[in-house]
This record gives sequence, structure tokens and C-alpha cells, in this order.
Amino acid sequence: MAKELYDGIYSSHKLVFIERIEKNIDYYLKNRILEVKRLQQELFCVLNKSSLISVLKELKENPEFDIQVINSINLFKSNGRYCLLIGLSSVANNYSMLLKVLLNSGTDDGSRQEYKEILPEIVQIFKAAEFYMSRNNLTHSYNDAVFESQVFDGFDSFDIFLSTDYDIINRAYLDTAISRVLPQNFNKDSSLFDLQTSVSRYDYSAGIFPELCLCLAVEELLKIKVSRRVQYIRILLSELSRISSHIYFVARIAKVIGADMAFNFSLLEREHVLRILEEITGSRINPNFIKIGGIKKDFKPETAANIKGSLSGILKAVYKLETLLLDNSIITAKLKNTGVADKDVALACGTTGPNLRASGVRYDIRKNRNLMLYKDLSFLVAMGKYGDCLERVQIRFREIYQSIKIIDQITSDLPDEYIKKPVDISEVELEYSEMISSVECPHGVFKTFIEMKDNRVLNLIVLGPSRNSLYFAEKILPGNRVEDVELIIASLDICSGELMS
Amino acid sequence: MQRGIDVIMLIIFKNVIYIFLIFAVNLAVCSYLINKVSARSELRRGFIASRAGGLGYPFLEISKYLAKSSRLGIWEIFLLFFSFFIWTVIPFSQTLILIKVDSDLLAAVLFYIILVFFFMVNASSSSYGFVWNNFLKKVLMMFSIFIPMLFSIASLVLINRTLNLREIVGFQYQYWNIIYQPLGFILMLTSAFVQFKLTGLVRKSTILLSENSEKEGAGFGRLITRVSNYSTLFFLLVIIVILYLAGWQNLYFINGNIMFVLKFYILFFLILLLDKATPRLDDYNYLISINWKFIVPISAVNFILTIVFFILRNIYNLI
Repeated sequence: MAKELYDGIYSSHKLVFIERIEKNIDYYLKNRILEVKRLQQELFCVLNKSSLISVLKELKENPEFDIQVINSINLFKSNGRYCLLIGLSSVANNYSMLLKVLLNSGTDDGSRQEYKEILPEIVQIFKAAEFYMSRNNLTHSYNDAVFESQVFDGFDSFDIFLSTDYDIINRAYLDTAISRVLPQNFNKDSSLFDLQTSVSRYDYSAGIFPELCLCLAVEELLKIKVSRRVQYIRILLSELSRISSHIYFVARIAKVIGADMAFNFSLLEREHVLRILEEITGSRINPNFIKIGGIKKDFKPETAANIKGSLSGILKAVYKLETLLLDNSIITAKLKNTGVADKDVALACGTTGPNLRASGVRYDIRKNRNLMLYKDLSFLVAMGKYGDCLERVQIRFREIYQSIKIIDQITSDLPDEYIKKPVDISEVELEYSEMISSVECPHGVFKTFIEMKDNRVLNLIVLGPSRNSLYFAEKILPGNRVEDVELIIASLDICSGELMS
Repeated sequence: MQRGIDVIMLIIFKNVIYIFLIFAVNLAVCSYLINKVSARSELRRGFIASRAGGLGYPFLEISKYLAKSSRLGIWEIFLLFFSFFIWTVIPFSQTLILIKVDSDLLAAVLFYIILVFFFMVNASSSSYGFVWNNFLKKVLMMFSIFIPMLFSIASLVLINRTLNLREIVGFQYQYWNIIYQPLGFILMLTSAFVQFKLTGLVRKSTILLSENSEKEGAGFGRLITRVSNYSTLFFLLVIIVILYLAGWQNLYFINGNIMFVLKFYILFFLILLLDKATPRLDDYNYLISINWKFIVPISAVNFILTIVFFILRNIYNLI
């Protein structure tokens, strides 16, 4: 049955739904859109700047589309022309789309001027776009407390500007100017091989996900079908990375709270998971293991048995860690009711991943989309209700248990197939094409937009979830105490690597 | 006459040597133990003598402080003076005491409060001037945790009907005070534990080092702060041992001095383990709320019950 599913006899309801939306877009926005494409379960539209505002209004107000969330806005140069890339998604209708807006100006300064002019109009439709505007409030005179990036351990990619009333925060601004080190065209026109080896830097706590995202995009472009064994090994690695990243998150929370034993214990446990990862991939942080059309190296049957054997130990240790951290009334008193965010705020900020699910929205692209072979595996989507720091910690623990369940299923029933050699990317010949791909990384939905010609990558745009988490932090910090700033930001699991793009 | 004064001076000098020898040995042993526990829990590694859990580490730490240059402020000199002066009124045995006063418990508590106050003032003063930011808040956090301690001491004084520490120890020749005041003992220990966490012997304390931790750095001033930090902890433990656990009283055939040392180190270990098991306690709202809603009312109830007991027994002779 699973084999038949994989071979494409059955097309998921999701794909049918995407087709319907695509037809609707063709019907409603006929004159205003230049081109509509379906790129791997996502929609991609190209339009002119003049029709942008009317299209956005239509997408928001028409119940057929019902887009309420803006995820990202990027300015980039494609094929000698400046463009805007706007990420939109509809959680109610369960789809997302990217709009490529062609700007009129051909110069660097002119495009920036256009960007500045168009943003206020977008803000009137989607309020969350204000995060991408020039922010004049980021001055020392306007704010009375400034935490610069070196103040908190591990959050060295942004400054926090606060305006306070005694010890209650009124307004908060997070400025990422310090982390904008990479020039805009850093990844421009680089070979696919170079990019593949260095892309894992975008997520230092779970480096497998950027690689996976890139490979999925290129495989879709080259129309390569990957064997089931490879798919399962990829899922296995990503779930192991998810566990490692979540334990690292717990360690950071324990450090902020000052729970020494939980901190040391969680780092020790993360070491066990990293050891398994190292055994398979040869590296702990930047695996460089997932290749286009396959994986670097297959592993022996004993390795799967070893992983399965060590799962019970990991499960016990994580359970012990949970009791150590969350059975302590002092810690739960600190976590409970701090940084509360309700569903609407979380959705409006474009947050994804555990932070969104902690607020009570069931959105996980492992379940909602046809992502790899997740549909063959049985697991639950961990859900929260209140959206406070305690929920955000608890949901990570629940996700670890689900990941252990997934790994257990994979290791007990790993198909024994021959793995083909990865594709030699130096010989790839491809006409100019675009592709979007997304994976559910531990921080949220990690999305990349890629433009390719032959084996050269013309553009790689990383749309990470951490930028949305930053805006989310700005929204939930007001009303909380200054003492809790570090805890709330730690509970959002912001990854500095994604911010540097 | 001249010879008499010489003999008295010699006795006092001998006592001074003894007390400061005890203090110094205790300092080395306790800092060794603290580092050992921290190193064990963090799995740190290093050379055997100089690593965090090594025997030579306390001495290495002192040399580390001395190697850095820093200015010595007036408050640090006050702090140094008081952290040693506090030991003049504490008896270590029936004879080993420097200044014999009738109400030495009162004097000791008074000196301790002054020491902690100097401690906080010293932490707030820096080379840039006096940092008033949140000073009153910190004073409130620190001194509100003194209230249960003072209540417990007051109830104990009512039971023993004396302010003299040697007499209090003498009173416990048959039954220890912990039997009469179990709740008071727990409250006193809790208060001592919270003070230990707030003064930040093991990790950085926001009460003492938030503003000027980067300004002061290491150096002789920091060494003095550290020594007085240990001094406050030793004071609390010694007072608890004397008040509740019968100080230097013999237990059957075991020598009293050995008992004193044993009880001191058991309490010290208890506090170290509690410290590792609990998170940081410098959250103002949480601390104030548990203190005023939980610890202070219980200690007040304990005090009132003791007063009632005292009146019924000593005035109406009912019990």
C-alpha cells in the first residue's frame, strides 16, 4: 500500500486543494497577475507593482483565498530586475503562496525608494508588514532601557530596545542590524556544490534542515524520485536533529532560570543524541550529509538496531529532565503566565512551529502537507492552549516524545533497498527555473526560494521562522516585567543563523 | 599589676589566633567543598591540583584575585573590619570567646545586620560613583528575609529566657532546642538558605553584582567581598548550631568540639545540596510573595504560640 502511495497512484487531498486555489486565482485575478505556478505544493505568482495592492486586498477579503498572514518581505535582484518577494499564508485554508512583484526601477537606490514607498500601503492591509519598515523608534532617546546583544548569553544577534513604566514594559523593539553581516548578493551565482556544503550554517542547532530544504527543491526541479529508504533515513535524521535542538532549547531555558542540575543534565543528554547523529553523518553540527538524489552514505543494519536500542535510554532521560525541570514549583511559578500570547497575535505575526502550536493553532506541515513520507508514520501533533512560556517548554517535551515514536517506527521497519549514487551536479543542465520548498524545522516552517540555471544558483532566499518569532517577541513583551525579557526571548527559540540572511 | 595585664593580653591573643585559625581553615575547606560540588555537577576538567575540584583551587583563586590590580574602596575596608569583628562576640566553646558580654546574641545579630548592609552598599559603590538603581528594592529583598529569622530568634529567647549564647548552649544540656522549636529551626534554615542564595557565593547574584560586576572585576577588593561572603554564611550556620543544635554540648561519649564541627558541616552540605536543586531565587516578585505570604506569617504564628506558652507557663504556672 505504502509503495503504491509513494509511486503516485494516489494524489493527496492537499494537492487537489492547491489545484482548486490555483484555478480560483486564475479566475478572480486574471488581469492582474502575469503568471501563476504551482511549485511543490506552494503557489507562486508573478505580478506588476501597479496591481500589487488590489491583489493583496482581493487575497485577504475573498473567502476563497482567506489569506490573513504575511510571513516575509524581501527585496532582491532577479534576472537584472529588482523584485519584491512577499510570503503569504492562510492557516484556515491550509496553503501558502509567494508573490514576486516586479519593481519599475532598475537601480539600487531607486528600488529601495520604491520599497519604502510601497510598504506603508501594504501595512494598511497587513499590519505585520510594519516589521519590515524603516524603524525610526530605534533610538536611545526614545527608549529608556536598551539590552545590547552582548548582555544575554546566546542571543547575540539583536539589540532589544524597551520603553518601560517602572518595571513593566510598554513597548519593545528588536533590532537585527548587528547580525546583517552578509552582503545581499552573497549566495548569488554560486555553484550548487558550494551552496550545498555551506547551507547548514543557517540553522546551527539543527543543521540538517536547510540541507534537506535545498535538496528537496533541486530534486523537484530535476524531477528526481528518491527511494523510500533514503526518505526514511532523511526523516530519521531530521527527527534526531529535532530532539537535539529541543534539548538545547531546554538547556537554554534552564540556564536563564538558573536551574543548574537541569542545565548540566540536558547538555549531557544532548550529547547522546549528537553522538548518534555523528555516528551516521560523521558530524555533529554541520552534517553535510543529504545530497541531491540521495544521501552521502548508507548505514549498516547494526546501526539501526543500535539507534533503536538507545531510544529507551533517551526516552527515560528526557522524562527525567522534564520532571527535574517542570515538577519544581519555583520554576513553574516563573514560567506560568509570563509572555502570554493568544492565537490571533501568533497568527498575525506569521509565527510557525511550536510557538504557534503552543497558542492553540494546529499547524504542522508534517501533517498538513505531503512532506516526504510522514504520511506513512503514526504520530500526534503536540498542541498547547494558553501560549505562555510554560506551554512553550511543555510542547517541546511533547514533540521530543513524538519524535522518539517516529524514530522507533522507522528503525523497526526500515525498507531494505539499494541506494543509488547521488546525482553528479556538475553535469546538470537546466533552463532558468524557480522553486520553493519548505520543511518543518524545530523553530517553525523553514522555507527557501531558489532560482537556478544549469548548475548555478542565481538566487537563494532563506525565509526562516526566526524573523517572525522576533516580531512575535515585540508583540508579547509589552505588559511583562523587565526581569522576564531574557526568559520570554529564550522561550521563543530564536535561531541567530537564520537572521544573518 | 603589669604582669596581670600581660597574662590577660596573652589569653586574648591566644583566643584571637585560635578563632582566626578556625576561620581560615574553615574558609579553605568550605571553598574547596563548594568548588568540588560545582565541578562534579558540571563535569569540569583540569589539572589535579588546580582544577575546580582540586585541593589547591582555593589558594589558586586567592592568587588570581591578587594578580589583578584594583582600587580598594572605603566600604571594602569597613567590610573587611566587620567580617572579622563579627566573630568577637560568638563563642566557639565555654572559654573560646574574645569579648564576654551578657547579651552577646543581640550584639551578634546587630553586627550581622550591619555587615550585610555594608555588603550591599559596597556592591552599589563603584569607581563611577554610587549606583542607586534599584538599591531600595534590593535592601527590601534582603532584609525582608531577616524577619522570619528575627522572629525565630525571639521565640527561642523567650523559651531560654536569656540573651547570652553560652547560657543558651548550657540550657540544652538535656534536650536540644530543636525539640522545643522545630518550626523555628526550619524557618531559620530557610531564611539562611535564601540569604545564601541571594548573596551569591556559588553563582553571580543580581542583588550584589548586577550593576558593577564588570567595573570591579577581580582584585583585592573582590577577595574581601568573597571573604565577607563566606563570613556571613559561617555566621548563619554557627548561630543555627548554637541556638538549635546545642553547640559544643557533648553527645554521650562524643567530644563537644567534634560535635560542633560535625553539625556545622552537615548543615553546610544540606545548604549546598539545596542550592544545586533549586533555581535562582532573585526574582523580586516571587521572593517577596513567598516571604510575605508564607514564611513571615508562619514565623509570626510560631512566635505568638511561643508567647502564649510562655505566659501560661511562667506567669500563670499552668503548664
